[in-house]
Amino acid sequence: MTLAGWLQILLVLAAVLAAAWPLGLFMARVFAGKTTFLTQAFGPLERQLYRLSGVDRAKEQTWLQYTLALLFFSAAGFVLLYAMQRLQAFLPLNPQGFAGVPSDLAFNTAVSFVTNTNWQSYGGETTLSHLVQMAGLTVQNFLSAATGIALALALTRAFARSGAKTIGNFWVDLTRGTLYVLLPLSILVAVAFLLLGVPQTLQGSVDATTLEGAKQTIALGPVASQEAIKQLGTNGGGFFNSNAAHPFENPSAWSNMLSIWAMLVVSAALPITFGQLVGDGRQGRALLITMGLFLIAGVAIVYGAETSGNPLLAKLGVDASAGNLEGKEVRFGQALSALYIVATTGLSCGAVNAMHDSLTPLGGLVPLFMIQLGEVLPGGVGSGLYGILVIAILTVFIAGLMVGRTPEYLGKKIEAWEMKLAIFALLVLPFVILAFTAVSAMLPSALSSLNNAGPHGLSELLYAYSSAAGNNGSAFAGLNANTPWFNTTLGITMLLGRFAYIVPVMAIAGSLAGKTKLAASSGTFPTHGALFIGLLAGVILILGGLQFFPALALGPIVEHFLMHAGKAF
Amino acid sequence: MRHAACSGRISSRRHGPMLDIAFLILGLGSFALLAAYAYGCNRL
Repeated sequence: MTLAGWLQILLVLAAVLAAAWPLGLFMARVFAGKTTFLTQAFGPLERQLYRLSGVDRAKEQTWLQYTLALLFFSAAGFVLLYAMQRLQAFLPLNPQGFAGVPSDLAFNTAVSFVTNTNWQSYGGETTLSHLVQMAGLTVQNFLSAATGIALALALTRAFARSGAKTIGNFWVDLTRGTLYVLLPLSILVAVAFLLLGVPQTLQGSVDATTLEGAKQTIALGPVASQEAIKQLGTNGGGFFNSNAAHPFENPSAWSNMLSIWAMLVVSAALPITFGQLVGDGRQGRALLITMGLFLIAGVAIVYGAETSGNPLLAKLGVDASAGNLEGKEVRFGQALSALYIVATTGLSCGAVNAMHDSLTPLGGLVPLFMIQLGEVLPGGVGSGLYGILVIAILTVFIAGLMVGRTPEYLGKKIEAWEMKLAIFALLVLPFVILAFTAVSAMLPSALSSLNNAGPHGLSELLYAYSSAAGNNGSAFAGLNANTPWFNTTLGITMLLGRFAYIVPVMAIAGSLAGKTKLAASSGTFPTHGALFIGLLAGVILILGGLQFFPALALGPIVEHFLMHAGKAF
Repeated sequence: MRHAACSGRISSRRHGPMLDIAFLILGLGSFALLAAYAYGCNRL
């Protein structure tokens, strides 16, 4: 680790905070229906969209109506995306003449992009036409991210309101999130990527002759536009197979810093929005500080582990002064690779600028555990906020049990029904991750997809299902996931990880919205101070540890000790 | 063992429409079950 490396990390995080603050305040105005500097530009389009789709923006929905609208919208997106992939050979903008995507892969990819996961069992530049990439995947990048923001806002309103039956209008939240937040930011970031050398063209490829005289076909496409929303919407699905390690997606250290900034900024802004809308900015700050503490701790571990290097290589006489550089791009360096790795897994983004499979065992443990902690640090766009609020509810309940008081959060009594729903939501991830990993670890056809044996092989399986369930989408690599078994089971995992979590969360929102908001009293546990932050961090850590420590012990932890005993996998 | 994965891929090409229906039922059926789950949470 070097001082220059830490300064780079802190510079990016400072830039994120500097932008997140005004963005959070801006989003609070947008979702409260107030006028902003963009109202004049997008207001007429917004009204036209409501008129064409028959949406009455003044009419709010109950939690059930809101959730059913979301499920219907996502189901329609799934069918459309599935059909586009299967029929791409007959559709325009297919300069490479790609055939239809096989059905199991089309299922996996459609679910993947509708759930904001962007797990990719395919290589984009060798599988999908420009039309599918632009009108299918990129559109879903916007809509799935806007869906996450909408849900976070619905839960926020539940805390802000008193005795209300409704929590907002899904169609209005979806439209505003797309028009006022994601679209303008994407245009700005796409232009910045263009200026930094990321290509944006409808040309399929160019032919080049290498210095040795060999012919090479270099894939091209509308990369900059997809790259912008891929990062901002914490989607993570790259235009190219090697994602943000590809020089056309991420050509330089500057584009790398912009990529990290873009994936963090909206998720970091949403707690600020939350604080504004519940009328107490300190509440949002407490959540943001908790998220930030985990992010920095994760970066410190990865940065330390990777710069320490692999002792097995050092014994072979390899120069270990730069640490473990396998799978990393030298143009990004150790520090910003570490920040990218932790941010992309703490965020449910899943874009990668380094191969996670090549990290040292401890370096690989961190991104895996960050995903398993529930994708709340700071979590995906929207999903991070509603995820951490569920854990905050659990935290005040535990605090209430300790001191013998009725738990309250932001003036709302947390009772048995909310706790049952929170547990329903929190059990989804460990259930799907551990069950499918266990079954895959026993299936010969699934094991044949692994490139590594022993604990590293188990880590590859565990990572794949963790990534799918957490709607992260990054891959540990080393696993050939493009098989009917993995495409189907990972698809089911993504669906359950997203929507089986959302349903109880929205039910909590409905229940809380209907409760009377109580005034704070001397018996109220303050949820904005250091004690609450420590308690919340402890609950996140203990919950994740209890659920996943045994599996992690069999994977990266034992691999770490075996590495020091001289054994590699 | 790789053949197991490959045979699935060939089979998906031969029996495309049947597999399409199966995967659409799997996807839409999941959404229908999730909607039923939401109704269940609302009634309890």
